[in-house]
Amino acid sequence: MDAAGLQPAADAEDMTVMRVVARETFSRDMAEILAADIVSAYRSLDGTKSERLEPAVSPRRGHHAT
Amino acid sequence: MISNKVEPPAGNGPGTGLSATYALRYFTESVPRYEIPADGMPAGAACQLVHDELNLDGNAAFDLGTFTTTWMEPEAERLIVQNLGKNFVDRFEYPQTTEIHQRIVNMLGPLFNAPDQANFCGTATVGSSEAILLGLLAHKRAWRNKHRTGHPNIVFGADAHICWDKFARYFEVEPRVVPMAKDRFCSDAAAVRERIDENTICVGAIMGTTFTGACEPVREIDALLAGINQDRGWDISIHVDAASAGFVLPFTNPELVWDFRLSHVRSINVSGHKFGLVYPGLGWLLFKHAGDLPEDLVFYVNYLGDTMPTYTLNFSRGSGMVMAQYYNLLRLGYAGYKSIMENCLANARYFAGRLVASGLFDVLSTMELPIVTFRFRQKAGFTPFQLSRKLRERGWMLPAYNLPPTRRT
Repeated sequence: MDAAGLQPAADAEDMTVMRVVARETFSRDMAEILAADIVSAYRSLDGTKSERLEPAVSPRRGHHAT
Repeated sequence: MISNKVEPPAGNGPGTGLSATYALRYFTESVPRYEIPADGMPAGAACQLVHDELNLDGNAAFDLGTFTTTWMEPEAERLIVQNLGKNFVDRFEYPQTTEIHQRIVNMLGPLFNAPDQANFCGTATVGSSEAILLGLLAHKRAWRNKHRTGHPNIVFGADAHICWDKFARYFEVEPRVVPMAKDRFCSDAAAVRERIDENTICVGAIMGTTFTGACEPVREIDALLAGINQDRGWDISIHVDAASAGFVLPFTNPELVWDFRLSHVRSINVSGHKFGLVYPGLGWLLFKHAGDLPEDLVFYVNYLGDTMPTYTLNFSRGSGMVMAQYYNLLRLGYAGYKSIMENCLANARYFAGRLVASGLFDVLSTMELPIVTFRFRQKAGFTPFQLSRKLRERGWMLPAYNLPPTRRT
């Protein structure tokens, strides 16, 4: 546990990391979209946000007779 | 008015004049893949086939892990295309190309604070790997010119680019590699001290490692060498690998002393094709003093019509990227590079902040350079390699990789 009360990450002997090089084309807009996509992808793999294979809304709803 | 039927001239019947690219038979046949075809095909067909196949490659604009330039201004691209067919080494045929190369080297010397009295010299290379191989080879030759016996060694951190290992193997120099500390991802003076001896051809210092973007303490290593060279009568110097930082720090943090201001820094490489903002295929190697490049490594070629000193591994190459570097220097100036690098840093720091704020990631980079290396804050039921693949679904290309081995204490 570290000061923040979190488990240390993976064993440092086998520490896997990811990298973004903020080149001149990496705009603030791109940074915002990417950050959101990374969090979303993480949660999707984590199972906390299950991926829907079927649409949440019936594609035929607009055609239902009431 | 009444118009009558006109018979079309012979030869304009169906199928004879039709040449739309996708109407050609080459699009209903397999493409020759591993053997030279017996007959060729129209230019439009060949171009379209290659172009369409390459659409399967990733989109370079979304390759966020790469250090190399993926975009240049259209004016730069025009110059590149105009100079693709000019062989860079043909000094007699292209004297202005040689002159422009000289101008760039003269701009880079002061950028790295070569002392006014120093007679620096330098050369374009294909990239930093070639520049490092050549730079270290000069150090090895200088060592050999002083030591007739003994086996040479070189000291650098495990965070160095693979081309440092390549130098050691190709040029038969013992690599003495400093492993990483658990919480520090670069070499340091104490670790260097443990590994140098009278047969050390030079010490490597990395400004901007590919792993985390860390900058090694060149100043401390310089001070260490000053003391030990004096005590032992050695002459160990430093090669700085500034592939990444060389076009960033002089603009964003000119006070940081890592370059030719340090007395033992004798050679520096920088990538034109990273933050030099030129497309892949360009590096630079500079020696603080012309004498740091042993004369017996320089080749003088005159069969192309003029005598020209060269220090390269490869000979012929196009002039496009060198001209693109000159274009950038003219176009951007000091102020332009500074603005771009400050934008890169601001966006890198913003992005790093977003990752940390998510609570999911720790950022390992010190953020002196616009390089953001991060890891999972907590153990997850999946690996960064899986996250990397997941992001690829959206088109993002972010590499996952392992850091170099740590020091076992």
